[in-house]
Amino acid sequence: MAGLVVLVAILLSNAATPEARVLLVRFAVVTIFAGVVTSAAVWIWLDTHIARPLDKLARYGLAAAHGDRPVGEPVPTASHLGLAGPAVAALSFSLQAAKSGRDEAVGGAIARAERQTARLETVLHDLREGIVICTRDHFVLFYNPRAAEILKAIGPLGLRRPIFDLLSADPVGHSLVRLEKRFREKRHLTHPDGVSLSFAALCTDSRTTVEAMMTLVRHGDLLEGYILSFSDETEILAASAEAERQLIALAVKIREEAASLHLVADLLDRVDGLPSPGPALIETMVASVADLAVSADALDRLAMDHLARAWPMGAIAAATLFDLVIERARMDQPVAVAADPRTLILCDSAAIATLLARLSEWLARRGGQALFLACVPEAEMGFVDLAFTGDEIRIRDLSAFLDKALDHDLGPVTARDVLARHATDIWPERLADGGQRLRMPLEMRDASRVRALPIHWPERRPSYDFDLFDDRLPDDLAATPLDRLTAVVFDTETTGLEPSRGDRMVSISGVRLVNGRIIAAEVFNTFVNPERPIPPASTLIHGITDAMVADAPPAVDVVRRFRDFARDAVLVAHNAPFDMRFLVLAGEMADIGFTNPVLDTVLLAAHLHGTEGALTLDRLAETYGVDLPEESRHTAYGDAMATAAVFTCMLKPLAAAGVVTLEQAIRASEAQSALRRRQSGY
Amino acid sequence: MSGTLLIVIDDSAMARWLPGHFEALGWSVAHVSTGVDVVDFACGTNRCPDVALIDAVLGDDDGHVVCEDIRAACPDAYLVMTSARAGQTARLKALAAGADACLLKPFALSRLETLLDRRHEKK
Repeated sequence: MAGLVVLVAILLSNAATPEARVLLVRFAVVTIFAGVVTSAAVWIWLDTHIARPLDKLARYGLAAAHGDRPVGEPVPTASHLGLAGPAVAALSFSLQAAKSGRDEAVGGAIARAERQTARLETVLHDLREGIVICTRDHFVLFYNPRAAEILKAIGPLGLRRPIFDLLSADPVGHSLVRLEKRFREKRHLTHPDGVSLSFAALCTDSRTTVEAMMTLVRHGDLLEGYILSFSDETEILAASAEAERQLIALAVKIREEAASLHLVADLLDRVDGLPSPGPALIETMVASVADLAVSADALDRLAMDHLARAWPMGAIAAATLFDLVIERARMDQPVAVAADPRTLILCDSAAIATLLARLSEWLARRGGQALFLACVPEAEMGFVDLAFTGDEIRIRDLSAFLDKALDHDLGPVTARDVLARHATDIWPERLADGGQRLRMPLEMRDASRVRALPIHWPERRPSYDFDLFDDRLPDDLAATPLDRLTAVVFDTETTGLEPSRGDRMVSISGVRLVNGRIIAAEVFNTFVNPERPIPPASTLIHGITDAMVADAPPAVDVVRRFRDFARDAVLVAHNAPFDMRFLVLAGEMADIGFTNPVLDTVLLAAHLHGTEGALTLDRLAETYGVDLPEESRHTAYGDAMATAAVFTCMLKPLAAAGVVTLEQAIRASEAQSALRRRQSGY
Repeated sequence: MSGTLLIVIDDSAMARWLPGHFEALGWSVAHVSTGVDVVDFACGTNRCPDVALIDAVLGDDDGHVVCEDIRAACPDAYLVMTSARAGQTARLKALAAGADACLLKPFALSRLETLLDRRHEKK
């Protein structure tokens, strides 16, 4: 158009006559006008037949995609767009169909899931066992009331909270690892337990153990989480002890009947003129009765053996037991005690200590004075005697006490239950000097005769190895006060005492201390596969068998994880060179080194108490009033916790004795170590 | 003439046959089967038996308590306990309760007779 105008303008300027010019102008105007009209017409046509329908179609498509278009609305016509219209129509229709199908499917699935969940919840709610379902990351998804009840003494179960608030991380984690491994290796198809595994879940209160069963939750090949089912172990233990008690009662019954038979036989024997084969028959009967009595004795022995295994019975030094009693007895006048340091008593120390403590309190309330607890080991059995002066106590008075519940911590257990459990009794005797004593027989041993089961682990042979760690500490670390340190207190159980002769770790446990406080939730605890058999003598000490470490990770893995756990922390152990040797050896095999500073609680204790007397963990625990639950003694975890407790208790006395910072602690330890070397002539 | 024998035994062949047997041997026998009966029996003066045979378990009662009571009431009586419990514990507890002797079941009748005869001879 513009070109036309220009052309006209040029023509115009070149035109000769005015008529020609006018003609040209008219021509130009008509042409221009025609051009405009044509353009407009084309534009209108395009708009109506292409642009608008296209626009409508596009909007239709968009709306269908977004789900705003109700089904059935006709597709806008767009005849000039060819197949575009039908294509969009078809697409839209399919989309609608798919969506409504999906909605329905989802709705149905949700409804089904809700019904199933409701059913499941009802079933789980009423189960006798506690059930907790956790995600793979150990967060609680579901739990039933029984679980809350069983675990309530330790803490509250919470949805979406980590199960590690209540249960110790390692047993749970370790079990999950074992189950996952079993699952991945397809061994669950042939394993008698399938995807389940029983384990003892230690609770974060460090005292309660809950017998738990872990079962994997799978979706096809995916592991989504796990189920923990458990009942309070003390209930299981109580039921087991009941069986033993019934066995003993049965033995008694058998003897009663045997006595009756014997009497009948004897009386028959006296009958005059009994015709043959009468007398011979009687002889046979008497012989049978004697056999019956022997059987009753065997039954007794069987029951006692089972009792000893079912309950946490162990050997405890009499002196330690009595210290526990003193600790528990709330009295104005403390009980005096005397015990040969070599005497070991076989019993459930918690129960017996509580019994003796309550007994002492009871005696004191009745006016008993000068209470004196002593241990008298004799040839066949030993006695624990509680002597006192005061009003006479008779069996009937004692009976009333024996029927009362001892301690709410032990459950509804009476003194009588405890005595029955130990197959023993207690009674009053008069003494020559006019006083009385309550006498209770218990099995005892002389520690010096028992090589395989010492209560005090023989002092691990010291060897100076302080060049294990870098002597040059960074200045800021050196100057850190001990109570501000980040430390990992650890302990190992091993196959024996000589790493250089092939002994290896079988268990290692570490506890984190931050600013002098034990962080219960940060615990490292694992069995270690020593890749060699565990000698029975060492199993007797720490209770770890080949079976228990069969599935455990090898030392190279464990030591790597431990290195991470203890990164940037000071390592603390009781008789550290011993544990460090095993750790370093394992580290060498994994090509890692430990550069942490190391503190030895034995040397720190020597700085405080001198080198006279044993500086065993037991002794130190007694000194600082650290309560060691018997069940966890000689486990790496129990000992690590005990060492940590002892270490924290020593901080103040150490400070008072001039050892405040890490550097000072190391200097003091080196001095003690040198002293000990001189003394032992190394 | 033998003296007085108090048999404190609950249900059993012994309770059924012993009284008759010792009666036949010349003893003057009284038989009670619970702790309460004993208290009734031995409460008055001149009613202390020469010998008492007491079982450790008397139904719900504790034979040791009964033994204690009789000993307290009758310091001169000869007390024999019988017990179906195993071992030393039973014996020691019986002695602590005031018994003079303890027979562990099952025992031969002759042993019991010997004990009683010896006692009678001492008198």
